[in-house]
Amino acid sequence: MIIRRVGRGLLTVVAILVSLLFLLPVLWLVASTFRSSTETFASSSPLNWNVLWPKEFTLVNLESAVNSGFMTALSNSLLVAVVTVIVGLGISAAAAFALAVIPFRGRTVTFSIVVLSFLVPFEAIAIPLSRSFSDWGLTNTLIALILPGLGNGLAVFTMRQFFLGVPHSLSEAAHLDGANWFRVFWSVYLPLTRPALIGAGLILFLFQWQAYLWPILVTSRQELDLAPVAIAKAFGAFTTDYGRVFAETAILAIIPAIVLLALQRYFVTSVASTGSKE
Amino acid sequence: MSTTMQRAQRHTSVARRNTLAAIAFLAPTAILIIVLRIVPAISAVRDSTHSGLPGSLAEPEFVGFDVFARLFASDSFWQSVRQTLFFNVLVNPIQIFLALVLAVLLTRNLPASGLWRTLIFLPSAVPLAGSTIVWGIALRPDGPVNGMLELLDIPRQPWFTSPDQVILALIVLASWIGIGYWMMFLIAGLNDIPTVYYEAARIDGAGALRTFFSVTLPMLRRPLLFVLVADTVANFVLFAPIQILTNGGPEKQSNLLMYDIFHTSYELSDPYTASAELVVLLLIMIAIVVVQFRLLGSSDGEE
Amino acid sequence: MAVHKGVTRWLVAGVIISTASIALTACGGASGTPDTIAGVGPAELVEPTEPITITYAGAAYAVDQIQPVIDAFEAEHPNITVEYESVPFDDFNSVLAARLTNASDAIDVFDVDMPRTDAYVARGWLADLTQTFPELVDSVDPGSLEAATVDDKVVTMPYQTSTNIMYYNKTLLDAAGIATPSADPADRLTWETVVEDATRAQAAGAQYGLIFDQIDRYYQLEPLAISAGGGPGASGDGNLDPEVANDGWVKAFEWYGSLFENGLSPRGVAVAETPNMFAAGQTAYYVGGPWWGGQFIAEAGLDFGVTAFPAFEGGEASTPTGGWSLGLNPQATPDKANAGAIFMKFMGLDNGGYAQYLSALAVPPSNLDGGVKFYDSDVFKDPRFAGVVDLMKSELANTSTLRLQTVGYVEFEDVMTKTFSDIINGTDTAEALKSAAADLTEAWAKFK
Repeated sequence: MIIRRVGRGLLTVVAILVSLLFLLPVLWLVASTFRSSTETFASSSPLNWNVLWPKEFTLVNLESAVNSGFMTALSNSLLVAVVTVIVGLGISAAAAFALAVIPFRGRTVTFSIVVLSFLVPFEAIAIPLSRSFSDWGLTNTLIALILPGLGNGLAVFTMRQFFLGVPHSLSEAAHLDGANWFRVFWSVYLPLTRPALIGAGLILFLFQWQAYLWPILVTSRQELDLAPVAIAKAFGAFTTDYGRVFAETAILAIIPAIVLLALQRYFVTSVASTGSKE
Repeated sequence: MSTTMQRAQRHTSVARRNTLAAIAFLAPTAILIIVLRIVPAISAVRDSTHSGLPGSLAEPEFVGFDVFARLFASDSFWQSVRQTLFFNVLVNPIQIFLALVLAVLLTRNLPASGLWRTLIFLPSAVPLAGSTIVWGIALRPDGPVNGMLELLDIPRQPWFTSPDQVILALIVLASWIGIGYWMMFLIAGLNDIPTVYYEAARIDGAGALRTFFSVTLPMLRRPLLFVLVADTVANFVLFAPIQILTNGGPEKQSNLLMYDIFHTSYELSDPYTASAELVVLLLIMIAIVVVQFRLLGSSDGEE
Repeated sequence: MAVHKGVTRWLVAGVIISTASIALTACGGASGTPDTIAGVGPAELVEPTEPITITYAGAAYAVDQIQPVIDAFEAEHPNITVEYESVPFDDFNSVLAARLTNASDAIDVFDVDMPRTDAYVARGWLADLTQTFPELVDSVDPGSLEAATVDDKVVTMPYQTSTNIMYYNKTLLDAAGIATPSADPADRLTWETVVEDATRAQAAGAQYGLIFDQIDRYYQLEPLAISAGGGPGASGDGNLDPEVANDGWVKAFEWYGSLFENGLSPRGVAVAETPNMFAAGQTAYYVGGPWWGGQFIAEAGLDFGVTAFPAFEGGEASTPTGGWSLGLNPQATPDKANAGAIFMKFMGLDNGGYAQYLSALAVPPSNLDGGVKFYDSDVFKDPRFAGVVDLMKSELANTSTLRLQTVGYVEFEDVMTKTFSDIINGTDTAEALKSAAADLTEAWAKFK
C-alpha cells in the first residue's frame, strides 16, 4: 500500500514537472506581455530570473493591442470559430456516423475520399480556391471565412474511429425498439462519445483559431480581420511592435485552454461506462 | 420459398433505406469536402502540367510532364524530399510515443490531472507564428535554453543556425506544439477502455507492462490509428516555423517539401512548380497512410 | 482487413483518376476584356462628375497611419472614395497575384516595392504612365525616378524612398575610450576601423559590437559588395548574368561573416528583433534606418549618436536606398484608371505629395518639395540626432545605390537572403556565393 502511494506521489511529481516544461515558453510569453519589448530582448540572454519575470510591469502592450482594434479581430475569430464548431461538429458527426455505423454500398469509397481530403494541405489550394470564392461573390463575407473550416475530414475521421468502438448491440437494441437511424445517432452514439466530440471540436476550433492565409486571401476589410491577421499587422514596414504581438498571442492561447479546462469533466463519460466494448 | 423471397425483399428495402439514410447523413460534409478540397486539389494536379512566367497574367501553356522533368533533374528537389522524409521518420514516432506515455500517465487518477492535461495541451493553442517566435528566441545560440544547458555543464548548441541541428530544433518545436494535442485524443481513447479488462488482467496476475501490451494497446488501436495518420499528415504539411525562422536553411537543410511548395507558390509566384511538388508530396503521404491503415486498421468497420 | 484493403484500393484509384484528369486539361478560354485601359494610363485626368470608389492595396502603411492622407484626398476630390486595404508585407505579392486578375473585386491602385518594378512589368501588372505624369521627371529624387522607369517608360508613381545611417551607443564607446564619431559625411568611418573599435567596446562591456538592422537582406548588404568593388550582383542583358562570386563579393562577405564568427554580431536573430537590441543599450554600433529613431529617442537612458554608413578602406561609399511606388492596374476600367491616377498624382506630386498629411514620417518622400516636412520632423530635433538631417540629404544625393534592377529580382532577393543567412551561420563564404551564383543561373533561365 505504501509503495503504491509512493509510486502515485512520484507519478504526480513527474506530471507536474512535465507540465512545467510545456508551460515555460508560455510563461515567457505572458511575462513578455507585461514588459516593454526592449526589456524582453535585453533579458533573454544571458540566463537570469528576469527571463520569466518582468522587472518593470507595464500594461502598455495590452493597451496597444486594444487600441489597434485587436478586440474586434478577436471577436471575429470567436464568432467564426464557434459557428464552425457548432455547424461543423453537427455535420461531421453525422458523416462519421454514416461511415462507421450505417451499412451501405460505397462506404469505403466515401471514406477514402474523406481521407484523401485531409491529406491535401489547405495552403496549397488556397489561392485557386480564393479565386473561386471571388467568382461566387463571397469575398469579404463571414461565410467565406467559415465555409472552409466546415468540411473537415480529420474531424470526421476521429469521430468515425470512436463510433466504431461503440458496441453494435446498443444500436441493434434501439432498432428493435423502433428507433430510426437518427434516433440511434442522437440518443445512443452522441452521448457515449463525448470525448471524441471534444477532440473533433478542437480540430475544428483550432483550424479557425489559427487561420491566417485564407482570411488574407478572401477578406480585405479591416473590420473582418481575424485575430492572427491582426497580429501579423503588428509587423509593419518601419515599425515592429513585439510587445503587442506577445500580448495578443498570449490572449489567443489562453482562451482555448480555459475552454478545455472547463470541458475536462466530460472526459470521463464514455463508452467505457456501458461496460462492454467491441 | 416464399419466406426467402419475402426476406430478400425486406433485405433490399432495408438496404435502400440504409443507403438513403447514409446519403442524408453524409451529404453536407461530402459536398463541402468535394467542392472545397478535392476539386481544387484536382485543379492543382492540372496546374502541374502547365507552365508560365512567375505571376504572369497571360494564360499558362500546356507542357505535359516538363515541369516534373525539371523537378526530377534538380538536386535541391531531391534534397528537399530526403530532408522531408528524415524529419518525419524522426518526429512522428517521437511525438506519438511521448503523447502515449503522457496520456497513460494522466489517466491514472493523479490529483488535478485535468490541470496537467490542460497545461500540456496549452502549446497547441498558441498561434503557430507566436510559438515559432518564442522558440526562435529560446533556441538562439546565446538564448535561455543554452543558458540552461550551461548550468548542466552541457556546451551551448547552435540549434537553428547549424545545418546539422536545424532538423533537431524543428523536432523540438513541433513536438512542443503537437504532443499535448495528440495526447488529448489518446486520453479520450484510454477512457474508452472498460475497467473490466484491467481487472481481468490483474486477476491473471499481469504486470503493468504486460497489461499495457495485452489490454491497453489493442483496445487503443482505433484512436491510435487516427493519431498516427493525423500526426503524420500534420508534420508533412508543417511549414510556418521554417518560413519564419530558417527560410529552408542553413544550407537548405530545412527546405522541407511543404515549405518549398508554399515558398514557390506564394513568394516566387510559380504555381506550376509548386503544384508538381504538391503531387509528389501527396503521393508520398498516400503511400505512408496506406501502410498505416494496413498496420493498424485490421478488422475495422467489418459488419 | 477487407475494408482497409478497400481504402487502399480507393486511394490508389483516386490517384489514378486525378492523374487521368491531366489528360482532360483544356485551356480555360481567355476571358474577354470588355472595357479596360489595356495597359496604358490615361493621357488626361478629368475630375469625375459621378461618385466613384477605387480600391488601394498597400503594404507600407497601416490603415490608421494612412487615413489622414485619404481624408485629405477625399475632401479635395469629393466624388472619389478610396478604399484602403492594408496587407501584411510578406503576403503582399500573393494577394496582388490573386486580385489583379479578377475584375469584380479588383485592386485599382497598389503599392510597389521599388526593386520589384521590372518583375511586375514582365508579369503585366503595371500600366504605362508615361503620358499620365509627364511632370514626374522634375519632381522626385533621381533614385526614385530611376526606380519608376523601365525601358524608358514611367510605370509607377514613386512616393517614398529611404537611406541608412550608423548609430553608436555613446555610453559603451566612452567606456572603451573610443572617440565619438562625427555625423559629417566627410568623416565617414571605414569598416576596418569600426570592427577594431567594436571589438574594443565589446571587451569593455558591450554585449554586441556591431549589428546590422537588416541582418540578412540585400537592401542593406549590397553597399558592402559595391564598396568592396564587387558590383550590384549581376550584369549583362537585363542584368541576368549573376556576378555574386567575384573577388569584391568574397571580400565583402568574408568580412561580414567574420562579424558573427568573432561574436561581434549574434547569430540566430530575426531582422525585426535587432532594433530592440540597440534600444536595450547592449550594442555598440548599429547600422540601420532613420525610422528607428522614434523608438531610440523614447529610451530616456539611451545615449546615442549617428554617423555615416561606413565604407571599406579605399572603396567607394555606397548607401542603401529605395522604397515604395504606386502602380495602376492595367486592366482597370477607364473611369477607375482616371480616378486612380488622380489619387496617385495626389500621393506623389500635388503640393509635395502625401507627406504633408502624415503625423509622423518614417522615411523621406520621393517628392523633393515634400521632403521639407520630413527633415523638419521633431524626431530629428533630439540632440542625440545632431547632424542627421544634413547627413541623410547628402547620402540621398551622392552615395545612394538602388538595388539591382532586373526582371528576376524576386528570385535574386530570395537566393541572396538565404545565402547571407548561410554565411552568417558559418558556411564558407566563397562556397556559399558560388552556390548562390549557380542557383541564380538556374532560377533565371526562364527569363532568358
